[in-house]
Amino acid sequence: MGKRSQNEAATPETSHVEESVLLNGAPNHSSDEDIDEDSELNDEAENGAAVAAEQTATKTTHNGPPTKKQRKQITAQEVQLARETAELFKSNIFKLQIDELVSEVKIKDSYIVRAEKVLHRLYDCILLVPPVENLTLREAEQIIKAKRVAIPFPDPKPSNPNYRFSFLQPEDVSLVGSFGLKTGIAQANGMAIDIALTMPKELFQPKDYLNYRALYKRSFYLAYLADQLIPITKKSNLPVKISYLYLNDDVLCPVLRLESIKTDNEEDLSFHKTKFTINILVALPFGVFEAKKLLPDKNCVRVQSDAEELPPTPYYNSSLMSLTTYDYYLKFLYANKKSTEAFKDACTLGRLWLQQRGFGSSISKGGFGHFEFAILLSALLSGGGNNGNKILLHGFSSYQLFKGVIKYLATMDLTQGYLSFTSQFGETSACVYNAQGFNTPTIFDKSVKLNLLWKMTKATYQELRLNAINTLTLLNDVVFDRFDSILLQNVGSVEAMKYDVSYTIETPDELSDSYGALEKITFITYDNYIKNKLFSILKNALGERTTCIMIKNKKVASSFPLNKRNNTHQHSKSYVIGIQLNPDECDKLVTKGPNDTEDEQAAKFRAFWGSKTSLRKFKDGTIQHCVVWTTEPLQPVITQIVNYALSVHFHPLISKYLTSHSSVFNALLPTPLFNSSLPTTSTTNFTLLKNSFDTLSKIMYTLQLPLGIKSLLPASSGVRKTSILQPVAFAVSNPDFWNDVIVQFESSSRWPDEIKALEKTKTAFLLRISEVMSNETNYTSFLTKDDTIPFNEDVSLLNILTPDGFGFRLRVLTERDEIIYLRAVANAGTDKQFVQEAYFKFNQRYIGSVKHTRTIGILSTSFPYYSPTVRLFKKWLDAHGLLCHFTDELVELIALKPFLDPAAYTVPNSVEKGFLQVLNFIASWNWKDDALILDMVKRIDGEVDELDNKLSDKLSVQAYQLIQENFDKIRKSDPVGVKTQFFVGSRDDPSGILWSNKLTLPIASRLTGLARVVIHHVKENEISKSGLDLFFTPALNDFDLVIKMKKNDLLKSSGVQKADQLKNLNPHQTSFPSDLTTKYDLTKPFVDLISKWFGNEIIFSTRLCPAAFGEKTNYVSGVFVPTAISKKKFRVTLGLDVKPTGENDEVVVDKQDILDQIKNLGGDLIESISFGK
Amino acid sequence: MSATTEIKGFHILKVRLPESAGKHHVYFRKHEAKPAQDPHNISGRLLFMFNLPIETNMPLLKKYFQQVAIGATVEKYIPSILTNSREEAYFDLTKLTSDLDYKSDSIEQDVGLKLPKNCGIVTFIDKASLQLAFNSLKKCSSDKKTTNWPMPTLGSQYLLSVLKAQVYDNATLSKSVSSALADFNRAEQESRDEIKNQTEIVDEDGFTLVVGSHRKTKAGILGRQKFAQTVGLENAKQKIKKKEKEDFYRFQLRERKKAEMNDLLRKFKQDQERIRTMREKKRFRPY
Repeated sequence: MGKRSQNEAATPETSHVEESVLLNGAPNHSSDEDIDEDSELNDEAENGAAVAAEQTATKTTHNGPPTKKQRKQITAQEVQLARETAELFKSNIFKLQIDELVSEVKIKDSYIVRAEKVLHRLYDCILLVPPVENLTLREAEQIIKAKRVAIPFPDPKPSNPNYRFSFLQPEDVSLVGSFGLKTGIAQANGMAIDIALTMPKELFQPKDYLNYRALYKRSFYLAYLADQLIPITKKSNLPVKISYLYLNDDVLCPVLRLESIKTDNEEDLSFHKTKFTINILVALPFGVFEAKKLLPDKNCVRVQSDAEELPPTPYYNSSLMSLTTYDYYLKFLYANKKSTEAFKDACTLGRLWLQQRGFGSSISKGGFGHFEFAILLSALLSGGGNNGNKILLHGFSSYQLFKGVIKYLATMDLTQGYLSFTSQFGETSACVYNAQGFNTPTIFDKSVKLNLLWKMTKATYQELRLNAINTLTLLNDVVFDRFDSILLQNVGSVEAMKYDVSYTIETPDELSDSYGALEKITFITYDNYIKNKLFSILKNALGERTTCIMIKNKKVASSFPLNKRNNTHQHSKSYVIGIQLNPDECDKLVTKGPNDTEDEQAAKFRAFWGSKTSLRKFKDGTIQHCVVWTTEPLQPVITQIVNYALSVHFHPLISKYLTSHSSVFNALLPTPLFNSSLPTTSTTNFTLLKNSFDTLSKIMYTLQLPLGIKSLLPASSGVRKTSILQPVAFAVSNPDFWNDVIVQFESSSRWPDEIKALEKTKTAFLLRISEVMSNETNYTSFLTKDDTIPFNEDVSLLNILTPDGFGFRLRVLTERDEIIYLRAVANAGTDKQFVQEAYFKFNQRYIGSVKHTRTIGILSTSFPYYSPTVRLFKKWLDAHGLLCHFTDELVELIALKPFLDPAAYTVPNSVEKGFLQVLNFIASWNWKDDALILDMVKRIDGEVDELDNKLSDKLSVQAYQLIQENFDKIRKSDPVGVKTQFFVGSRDDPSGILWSNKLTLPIASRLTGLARVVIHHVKENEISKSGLDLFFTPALNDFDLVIKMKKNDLLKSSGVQKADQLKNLNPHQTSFPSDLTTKYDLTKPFVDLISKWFGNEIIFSTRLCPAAFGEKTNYVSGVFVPTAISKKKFRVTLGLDVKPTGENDEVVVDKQDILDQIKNLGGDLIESISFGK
Repeated sequence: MSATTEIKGFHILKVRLPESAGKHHVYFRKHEAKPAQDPHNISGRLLFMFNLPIETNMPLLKKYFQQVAIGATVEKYIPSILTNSREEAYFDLTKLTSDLDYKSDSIEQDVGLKLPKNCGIVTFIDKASLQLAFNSLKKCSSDKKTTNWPMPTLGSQYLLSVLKAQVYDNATLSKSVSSALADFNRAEQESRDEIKNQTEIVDEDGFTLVVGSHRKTKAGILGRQKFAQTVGLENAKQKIKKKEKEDFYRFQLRERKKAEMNDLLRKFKQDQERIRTMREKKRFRPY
């Protein structure tokens, strides 16, 4: 009987719970949706054309299904639009992808049913808690078993209060949060169900909002509830573990967190499989305090202070205010959800978008989560524009709603201005954007008088906004499919990939002295205080140099056991500071301040920078206060500034507490012998090379030759600033010492129409140039044979040594060459693929390379960190012996990807970010399914109008599709990538395989594998010097054989500074050796030869440039080709070194004999050979 | 292990490389060139060898045969051109692109081009020499005797020489260039004469071939002709197209619209298909 009456009594109060559960009863609802979709599909089958058009029409404006009339009125424009959007797949494929994703993250119905059962039982348990009233603090503390449960009073603990503590049955129990709203999604770590218990109004007095009083009462309520629930839940067969949790990391708001315990008792109701946890939030009744008193600019915590006026306590006020609004906002959002069909899906998209970027409602996650997203979405449905005009309409699709919110976040500044709206139903006053803001991120609810962004800081808002800006450009992209980078990629996990520079800072203990009573009431926690302090110092110090400064706790633990009053270990003492740089400003050596006439500003500037300031006169006559920084080989300017500013304003011994990895990364780049005091990322030495080329070409144009020179175009990694070593004069051992130059003479019809004779004629020209040059200039030159083009043995090159110490190698291109090669391909018949190889090589060396050099040259000016990134990437490849298998150009194109298309990250402005992003791209590049298509244009800042878009050489949809079609064709005939692995298409090379056609499957797979290892390591561990060194250590055990070469010191002649040597002791070379070949690394011809002879049996790898590692020895590694080493029938066409097995005319590769021959060839070069495995 | 001394008609010869304990297996047999294909008259003096050790050359072979078969005088060693190349097959670009006949093909090129990788042919001075060499080798083979392969250890000096060989001497190069160009001029002249002959022939329809002053080879002319034909055709087609109005009749408009719509639908279906494959690949897992 007793039980029944309780149940009955429960009905009115649970009604809300039930209603919200039933109204959106997931099973019913979703099946409805399915039917809808089906009928839509049928429609399409019948009248596909109309529907397709209608789809785009629905997308644009009108609500509800189109009438017949609308359907008929398809204008030419609409058709055009439909046509375009279909091609641009933003409508079709994006929509389909969203549908898929939304259904993928839906919570299982069975879980919901289970959760509802649990909630009902929990509700029964709560009703069983007996009331207590009017306890003094002492009594209150006594009534709760102190060993089991402590009362989570916020600091400071109440002492001798004149008010009483009570527990009465809650006024209201309701499901709140996303579970209540049915917008929850399945999450990796499980989802929390929030239920709000509203404390009865009679427990409070009007003045309780002051000095934590309401919070103390709430704390007791919470602790008493927990204490009682422990035995009650046990008895009711609801085994749960209860702990405290700071909701959203807010120390003023502890809640109860219930986790299911798995038991063997069958009657027990457990829900651990659902991965749900239940948060019991204790709410204050809505409107219990006068809202005016809790406005963000009011002080509600009175402390004794010398200050005339106490500072406002926005944090405290907002936190207290939001305790009263759980249920209220649920209703508000629910109403919006009902009136807007796609609301739920848009929320799902928003939540995913935020999650993938590490945002959430918690303070440590930026204070902007799905709740804030949903509120903003609702607000924008009722206005939001400058004049209160509506930003979003109820009939919008989920995609449009999502995009609308992102666009709003990206384009409207909620710090300088703010958004105000009303959550009261029936109130018509508009939701408006106000241009005058409060200098803190604000979305203000006029009905409740609460700033919903109170958990955000300027720093986190800035980051959110940058993310939104970034995403908006992706959403506007009509060429590439951006779905993955917007919603599927997790961007948050590795700081070094997200930020250009990141620091770890340990907060010194002494600092807590500056955390006084006034700071305490303003910031409430020491953590907030530190973050705020760091941010304002850094922002002031770095100014224009950064676009984003993020300060994050290294660890946050918000839950703590019931027997603790508070969680002293909520925030660890270390912080991560992530900085995104502005490439135009970050490396400037002078921080400019105000003019000398502006006294007030100048005083401020001087106060901040202290003794570092100086007055400087600039070329335009202005005299400004300045701070001047110095260049250092490894440390970026930004780090110097951070160090200095923090040491002055944060802690004098900051360098002890501040660590960063940028110098470790920069140190990985080889230091050149010349200009060694410049940063290793500098490109000054490359400029010297370029100048040398310019001088040479000037001279060449004036030479008296039978045919004048029409053009001289450079085509080398040195000229495009991407060579692994910096070019240093007379450094002939540098593997990139020779710079290819393509010469074209004035056009003539007299070139022979036969390849041999053509090459001989070219040679004759080169001989002539050589002769003239040696007579008339101080350049030395000689001719060499070139065998880069298969089947064409007659190519010769003119090698020119310049007096300033660089080397150029001239190839002659005539208008006849390409015709002849193409003719050969056309006439080759069935052997086309072999002859094509010759054409490819020709195209690479004579045409492609020139184009590539030009393009990279242009792009690298707008991406200053591309050059050092690609050089480090090359070094990494070389460490593993992979670089020798790739063309330089392919490597450079792959490294270009994160610069041209960093989504979902941002363009790297440091070596570490660039390098890790390149590897991250490779690790995640599924080259069997996806082509890499590069849009080779400089990033244009800001909005561009359509005309600009048309005029720029951005990749058009048509061009993109052409390249994609080429890829599809290749994959059709080669689905798993046996022949073609990497497809890298661009405007310069729509074929996509110009640079990658000779790659092999094992090498491509090895690259992917190695990149995955690095990225995995980076994600699991913190970046450290030892970890980095590991990345650059070859895994020699993976190889079947390893040949260690004898020591050969080529460091100096490669232009590389030895690590431990003083600069002055090691001057660079000043002249060429009499015989250049003596300074070459003989490993290269050695590997060339053994690859020619044994390439069918073994894949050889070697380092091209051991000097880049500061090493004097090289190694050669080999892996047996699996298909070659199996037993085979004897044939003379095997092309393998075989020995008889003695059975059935079968032979097998003679490994030992191959080794003997390699040893014989290597002779005195080889230190040791070891067989692995 | 190997009791075999013969495999598919090849005898197996074991040789020992310097400073190694292992054995290298060389496979050999007599080689016959068909009389018709024997412009160099070498038939009957040939020994075909497969899997010779690296860097095998004339002096080395001479040395070896002196050691195992004194009196067998080696005349030439013709290795496969592929042995020292990374390519799988060899192509003569000149032959593919031009019909000029240099007529200077040496025996090395003629034979070497056709041999598979790691193979070589040794020609002896006469049949007796071959017989002598063959018998001695066969004896070594059947006795399973391992003979020393008289190759030097190569090492850095050798590799350096390879590098140095890449550098031309200007004077020699200049000589070879002029002789090659002379060859070319001669061949070209011949070809031109041939064309000239053709221009004098009047064909059945009464036409003669017209040759521009710049075109020097037959292939050049023929290639050009082919090109001209296609270009002309395209131009004509385009001209016709330009004259047609595409939106004159209602049916044209209707059909175009219909085609566009069908296209749209097709693309939609394609997109659905793409999504399906993506779903199968579990692409929609956000975590």
